[in-house]
Amino acid sequence: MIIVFSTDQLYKSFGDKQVLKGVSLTAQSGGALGLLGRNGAGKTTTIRIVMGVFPPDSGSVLVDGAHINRERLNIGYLPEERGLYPKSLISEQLIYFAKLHGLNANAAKKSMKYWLERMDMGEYANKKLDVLSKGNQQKIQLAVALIADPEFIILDEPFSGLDPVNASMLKDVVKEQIKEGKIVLFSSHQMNYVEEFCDHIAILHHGEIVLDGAIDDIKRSYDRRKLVVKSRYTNVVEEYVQNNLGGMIRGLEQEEGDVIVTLDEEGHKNRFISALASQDIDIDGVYVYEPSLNDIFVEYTGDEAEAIDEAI
Amino acid sequence: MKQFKTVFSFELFNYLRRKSYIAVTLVIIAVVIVLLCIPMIQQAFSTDAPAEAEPSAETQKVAYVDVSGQPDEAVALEHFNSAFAEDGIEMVPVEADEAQLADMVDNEEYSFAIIRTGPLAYTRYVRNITMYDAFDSKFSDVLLDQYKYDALLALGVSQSDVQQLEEAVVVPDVRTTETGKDQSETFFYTYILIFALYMAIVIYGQFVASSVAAEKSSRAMELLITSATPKSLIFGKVLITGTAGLLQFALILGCAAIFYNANAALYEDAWLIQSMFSIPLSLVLYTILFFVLGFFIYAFLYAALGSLVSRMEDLGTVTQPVTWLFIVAFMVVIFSMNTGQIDNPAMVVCSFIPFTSPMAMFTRIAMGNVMPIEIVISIAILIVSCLLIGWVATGIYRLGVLMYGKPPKLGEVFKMLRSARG
Repeated sequence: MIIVFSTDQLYKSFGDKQVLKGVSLTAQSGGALGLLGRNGAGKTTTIRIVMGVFPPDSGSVLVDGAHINRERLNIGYLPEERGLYPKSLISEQLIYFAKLHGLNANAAKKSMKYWLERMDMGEYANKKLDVLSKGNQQKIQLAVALIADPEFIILDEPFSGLDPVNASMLKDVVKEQIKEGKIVLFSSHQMNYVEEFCDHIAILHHGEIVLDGAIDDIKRSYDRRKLVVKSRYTNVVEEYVQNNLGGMIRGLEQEEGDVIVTLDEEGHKNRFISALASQDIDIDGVYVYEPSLNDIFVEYTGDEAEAIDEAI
Repeated sequence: MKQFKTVFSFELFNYLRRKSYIAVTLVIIAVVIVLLCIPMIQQAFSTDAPAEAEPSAETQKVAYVDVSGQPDEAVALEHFNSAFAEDGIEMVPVEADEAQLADMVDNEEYSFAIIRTGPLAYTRYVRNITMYDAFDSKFSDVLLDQYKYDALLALGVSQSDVQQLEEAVVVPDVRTTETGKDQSETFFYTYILIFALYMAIVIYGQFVASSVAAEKSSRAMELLITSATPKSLIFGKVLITGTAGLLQFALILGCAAIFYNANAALYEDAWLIQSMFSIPLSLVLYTILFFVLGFFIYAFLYAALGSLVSRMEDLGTVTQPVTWLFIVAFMVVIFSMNTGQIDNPAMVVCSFIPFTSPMAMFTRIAMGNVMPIEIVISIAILIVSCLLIGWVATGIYRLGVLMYGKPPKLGEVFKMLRSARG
């Protein structure tokens, strides 16, 4: 059954500070929505409102267009603030949270076993949490989020602190969940992961959604007059373009060993490529420049001065 | 309800498994049993040691000079010595002036020195007077007796008549009315029960606060608060701590009772221990009732306060006002008990204020005169306050658990509560 989750114009203030200014999001079963934003942008506040930790000042959280009923919609949550009971046995904690989400004792035990095995943590079932490494604790935390087979999964920075092997395993787990038709709301600063899972993103900046939509559409919406020319002889390429094709270009620069050419018109793309290919220059490839998610994120959320201020 | 049961059983299981809980219970049981063994230990020692050796070991020698000019100095001295024999004081006649007597006392040749300067006057030279020194009041009585004895003889009363007069005793028969109480009987066990109530409420209340703060500082709270309702969490925590506390009490008292009954014959002379085990059942039930209600009120407050701190180090500062409130209640009760005026106005007022009534009303029931309707009103106020404070505490807990940083001020908390409800 397809579920559509959305938030409609969420507003929230804490004291005089307005944290959310009309946040609207949409995600549906089998899809992952990446919620991006810098520190303090309002991501955690949005998630906490979705989780019902506190109500919005106005706006609503909807499931299939109706107000969310958190007792009926099973939500798995990996909060940004990690933490369980350091002095309790791992198996007991997993069973505890499974039961809190409505599983009976048998189902809770079965699910606990499954998830510990799935996370390669079976041998730690009867260990206390505080004997585990940070990465392994993180895996247990994810297991807690998934223990009750939730329909809606909220992951707040799930990959922070994981080594590449564990990160890869977790990636597989999250992909499985998406494949199984779950809704995943994914908040992260690590753009490579967001790009890997999420078909849609929403960028939150100062409590407002400044960009949202399908990642492919967003990328395609960027200027397609910009071409990347890959070659071992960038100087030769640059010289040739400058001397012979200057009439059809607006900009030329070298970036990370590639030549980036901005054409004056998108229609000149084929002419430019043909002209370049006809020369006796060793070209590895020419393709339309697409901004990385990181570039898009920085473009929408960071004026540099602000970033420097924060760093200081 | 199902969620509450899950929280309750998880927390209770964790609680009862704590090493500190098990250790404290076992240590207290051991201490109680050792205390109950004191009569046996005393008995064992008293049969081993030679009976006559004991008084001589403690005899205090007192230098005695008589310049009173009274007849029969030697008879008077004999009278004094026989009066003080049970206190281990022996007066030795010496020839010395005041300065010499003072030196003798200073050099510790004598414990102290007495110069009888007149029929009803004496000077005592002593190095240090302890708080519990009762010599002077007793010696004054003895001197007075001697004076009356001498006076009666001088008036021509026969010696046997004087002796008969001296041996006369009054036989009092004091009976308390049906609603009255003999505080000399109830004082000791009420004192112990009040102390136990005080300790239990403060200790278990603090447990609740630290357990909430621990969940917050370990950051388990965000997951908990989104997996269960705040009401289930706070009520679960408060109830299990109360249950664990009652269980601990039951274990300790149960072990003590079994031990006492098994060795009842040994306690025939130990009135202190006997009075502890002759607490009326109704009072035991009141103890449990007031523990439960008092504990709830304070535990909810402690839980709410525990939810406001981010670090365990701040817990002491934040919970201090509540602890002080309870200490004040305790002091009012203890002072009233010591003065014997159990039903004084302060106690009457305190026995209806929910924060103080668990101890104040309990003491009035145990030692004072309180009407049944007053008890009912006090308990009703307590129950309503428990629910009210539970409700407010849940609100604070809900907001507090996700607040990190410096603990907020009380005014800010109420402001937040108002805005959250509005």
